[in-house]
Amino acid sequence: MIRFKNVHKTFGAGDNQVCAAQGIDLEIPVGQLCGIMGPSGSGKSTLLHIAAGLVDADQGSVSIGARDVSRMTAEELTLMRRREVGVVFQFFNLLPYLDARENVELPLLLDAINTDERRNRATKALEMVGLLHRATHRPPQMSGGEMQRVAIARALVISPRLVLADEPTGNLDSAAGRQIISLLRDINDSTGVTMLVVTHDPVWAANCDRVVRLVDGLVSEDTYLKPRDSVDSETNGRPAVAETGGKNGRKAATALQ
Amino acid sequence: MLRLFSLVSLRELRLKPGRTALMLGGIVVGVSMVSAIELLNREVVEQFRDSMENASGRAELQLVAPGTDSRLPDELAYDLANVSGVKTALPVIDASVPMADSASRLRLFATDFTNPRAEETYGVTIVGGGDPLEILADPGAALLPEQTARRLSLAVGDTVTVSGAIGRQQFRVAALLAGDGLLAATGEDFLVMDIMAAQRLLALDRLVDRVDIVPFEDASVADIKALLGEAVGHKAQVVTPYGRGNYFANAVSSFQVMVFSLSLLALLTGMFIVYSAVSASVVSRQRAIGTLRAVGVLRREIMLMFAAESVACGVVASTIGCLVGALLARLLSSQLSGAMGVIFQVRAEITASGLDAGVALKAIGLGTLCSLVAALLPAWKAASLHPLEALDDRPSGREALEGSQSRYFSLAAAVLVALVVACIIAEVKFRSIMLGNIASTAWFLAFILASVPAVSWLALRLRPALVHTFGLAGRMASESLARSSRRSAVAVAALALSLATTITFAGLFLSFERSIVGYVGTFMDGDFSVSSRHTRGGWLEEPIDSAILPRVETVPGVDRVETLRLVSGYQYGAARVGLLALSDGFFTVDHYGPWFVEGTASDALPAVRKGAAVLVSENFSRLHGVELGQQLLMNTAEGELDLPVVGIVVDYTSDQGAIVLASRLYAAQWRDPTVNRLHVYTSSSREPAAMRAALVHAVSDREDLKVLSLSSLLEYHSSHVRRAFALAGSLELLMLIVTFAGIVDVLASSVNDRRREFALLSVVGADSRLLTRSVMAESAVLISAGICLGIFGGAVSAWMWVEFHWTWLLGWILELHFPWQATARAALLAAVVATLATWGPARTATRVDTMEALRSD
Ligand SMILES: Nc1ncnc2c1ncn2[C@@H]1O[C@H](COP(=O)(O)OP(=O)(O)O)[C@@H](O)[C@H]1O
Ligand SMILES: [Mg+2]
Repeated sequence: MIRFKNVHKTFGAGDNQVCAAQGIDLEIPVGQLCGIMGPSGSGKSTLLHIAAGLVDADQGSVSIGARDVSRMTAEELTLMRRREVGVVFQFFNLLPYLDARENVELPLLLDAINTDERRNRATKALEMVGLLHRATHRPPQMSGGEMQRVAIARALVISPRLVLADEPTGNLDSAAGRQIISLLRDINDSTGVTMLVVTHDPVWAANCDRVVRLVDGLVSEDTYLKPRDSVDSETNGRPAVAETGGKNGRKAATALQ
Repeated sequence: MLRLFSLVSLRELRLKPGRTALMLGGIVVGVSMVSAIELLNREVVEQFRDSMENASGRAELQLVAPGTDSRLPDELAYDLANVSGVKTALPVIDASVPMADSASRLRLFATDFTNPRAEETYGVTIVGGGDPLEILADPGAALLPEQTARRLSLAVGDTVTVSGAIGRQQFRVAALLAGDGLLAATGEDFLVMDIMAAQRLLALDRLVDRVDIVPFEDASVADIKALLGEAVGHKAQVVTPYGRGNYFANAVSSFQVMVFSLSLLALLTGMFIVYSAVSASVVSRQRAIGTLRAVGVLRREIMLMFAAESVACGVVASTIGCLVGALLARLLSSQLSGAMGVIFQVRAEITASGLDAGVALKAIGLGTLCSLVAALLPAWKAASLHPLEALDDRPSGREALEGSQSRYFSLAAAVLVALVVACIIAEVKFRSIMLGNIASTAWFLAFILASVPAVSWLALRLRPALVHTFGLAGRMASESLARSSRRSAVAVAALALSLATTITFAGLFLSFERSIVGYVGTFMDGDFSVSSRHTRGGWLEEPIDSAILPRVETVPGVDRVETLRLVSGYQYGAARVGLLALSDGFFTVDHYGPWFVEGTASDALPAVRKGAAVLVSENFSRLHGVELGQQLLMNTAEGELDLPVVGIVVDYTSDQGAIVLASRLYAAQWRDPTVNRLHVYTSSSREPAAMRAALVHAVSDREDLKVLSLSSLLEYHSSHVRRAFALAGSLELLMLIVTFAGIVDVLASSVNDRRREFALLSVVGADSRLLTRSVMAESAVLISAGICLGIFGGAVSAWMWVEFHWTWLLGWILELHFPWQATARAALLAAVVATLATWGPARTATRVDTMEALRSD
């Protein structure tokens, strides 16, 4: 579970000041696939970066499970990314001289996990994204969709508690984008990993368990697209923040469009 | 950690072979020079010691004249045989003589073979048996070691022609020495004869080079040494053969330190190249670093990865460097011998031996350390990159960072300059060679650091001019300069470094050459000079018997003949100074007056001419603390001589300074009738060519002599200075090659790394010509900054070397001559290299497909 409590973040100073978050409260239960939407500059990336420990919040707290991210040192945050949180970027950020398998193994390598286990886990992760047959190919020999799938495998290989994806389809054509979308959906279904995914694609958003809409650094809408009881028991009994909560997916998608 | 290294670093290194080669190359050049110099220096010292010990046979003590070229009376040997504990005392002549018809020399060894102990002392064993005393009773007979005879293809009964003070002399090879004898075992090419024959050959009047003392087996060497010391008083010194080798080694030690410090400069350059290559690689690997950080690599691990890379490169490069160094030592050995010959007038036949483990380990350690140190700053920069910033290329906050660092760099440079000044003051005060080295190295570091604030400052100052000249392109250029002052500074520093090195070397060379040639041309200004064709490796010709003088004086057209005798290895205290004996004609106010630094020429010169006083050179006074009016105590073959110093003069004959005295005084006191040169002054009535022909004719029976006109003599000296600097020239060339490679890398990579920026600009309508022009405007600023800084740094460095280091390291006081030509040439070359290094990449970078560049990652 990840919880944002009254998170504030301001960039710059004086006239150049930009508020990327002005008091975000959000709680994502374990296993939820949560889409984040909102106009450009509304603070979506900032929110994800704060969750990943890449940006410090000015005020408020963020916790992942029982751990308070806002109190962790830079080193602890880095180790958290290494062991607990998988990050997927719009630009795939793969190392061009490593093949797919090596790119996927990278986080495991840092923790001196033995070779056999590393291989197994990388194989599993590649299998999950359907790229096992391209394990020895390097990024320059792959299509955008394939590269993003390798990046997803790299995020999954650590068996994360949380996957953060910032516009994973933003750099792909729509067909490839859709593939990624259904891949993330499937992975969430099969592994039950909590996911926070920024997207501009309403069709994809319709596949989420829940869609949070940010405007000017504030949550403006919070929509549950899946029956709440199918999610985690932890949130049971808590009132849904969203006006549109509980409606079925098709309808919500139409509304969002 | 190691995994990250093997997975990421090794591939990065392989991916950019050019840059990797440069990183390796920087260290290879530095380490190879340091280890080559170390090997050579060691070899020099060992060679001196060996050759001293080897020819001493079983003698445990020696009597030597205080000095190397000065000799002692042979009667000492006969007096000392009675000192208790002394088994025998043998007079020895141990000199190097040129072979008449080749460039090679033989080591002339002669002792008193009538002494029955001579054979066993030196292990003289005749091949096929025979008594050396009988064989050498014939003054025309000599012995050669077997291997020497083989090398020269000589057999018993053949003749060897050598050149001595009295001219060419033939010796019959009367027998061969067995290879296992002590003398022969040294491997040197000896020519062994009786002492009388040797004295005749060298025109020595009852003089020998040393007396070897063999004590009784049960006698205490220390006791005998004390007894001998008492017996000989000041006439000679009692030394051990090993100590004598040390004396030579000490004499050249400051030269060795200087050469070593030049090699350290090379290592510094190498470090700088590594620094700039790692910096460039950090920039180009920014995204990869961001990715690693994003997936959970710690700052520390990034830092360690770069450290491991630089250590790995350092180890590989220094190992290669050691091997190259061993090779380089072999190539440079003749240059070093040449330089030492010219500077010290000693013949050091340096043959670099192979690499030994000690030198190799030291060099590998040093090289690796340098590589690590050079990589630390860029590695730290890489590690402290914010992952998002690294991924996004967002320039947030970067300018503020650079601004404050510019101040930091100025401060560091200022501290270093203060250190330089302090070191120079201390260098002068304590006559410390090491401090001079630190000063020289610190100065180079100082202006490398100063290049950062210099670029920021220039970017600001030049902005209006750039905008005025290049318009929009100029504005873009000045923006880019201001934004990346540190990256630009690396290019500026590389340029400045290469230029400053050139100027330092060239300045030193020019000052040395001009000072010496100027001195020779106006001081030793006879229209012709007559001297031996042979030298001991330096410029100074072998001494010739002054009996030749009347024959030259009587040639029609000759006005007067002046003589010059230079004993280059006279021992004064612990130093090896020059003893310059000049004939009367030199000591006139007209001739010598202009060279006086202190003292009144008109009062001083008559006293010197009479043999009642001496002059000392400026560097002698400075190095040995001898002042005007002071008494100077000298040991001579005839006893002690105590004369006042009546003048301090400019003189370039000896590095550690010279004592100038009258020829007559010298000949009498040192029992030396030889001279090195005759300076012939002619009346202007005869054609120079005819005059020379007449002189040549007058000495035609002496094939060992040469007659030079004044201009040829000057050229002769110039060519020797060139030889002395050939070594420095080779080192400089290597450094230039590496720094140029560094310049190319820095500039080319800085252009390449901006492809994205160019693409963005071209999206908003900047055409490729505009972009190229802006890059060229930027690089024009960098090139001029580098050249200005380099000329400034080099001029100061050359000045420091000439005014301070050269004096305290080597003893010479030179006039500073700024090497305009070499500077202009080097600046032009640097500018061309830098322009090409920018222009090529700029053209390709600005012409790339915009979309491709934007998408590239
Ligand atoms: N490192 C930064 N420095 C300055 N401003 C930033 C920085 N990161 C984000 N911002 C600003 O914060 C606001 C929110 O940015 P972001 O979270 O990236 O928006 P989104 O991802 O929703 O498009 C934007 O106005 C952006 O310009
Ligand atoms: Mg964003």
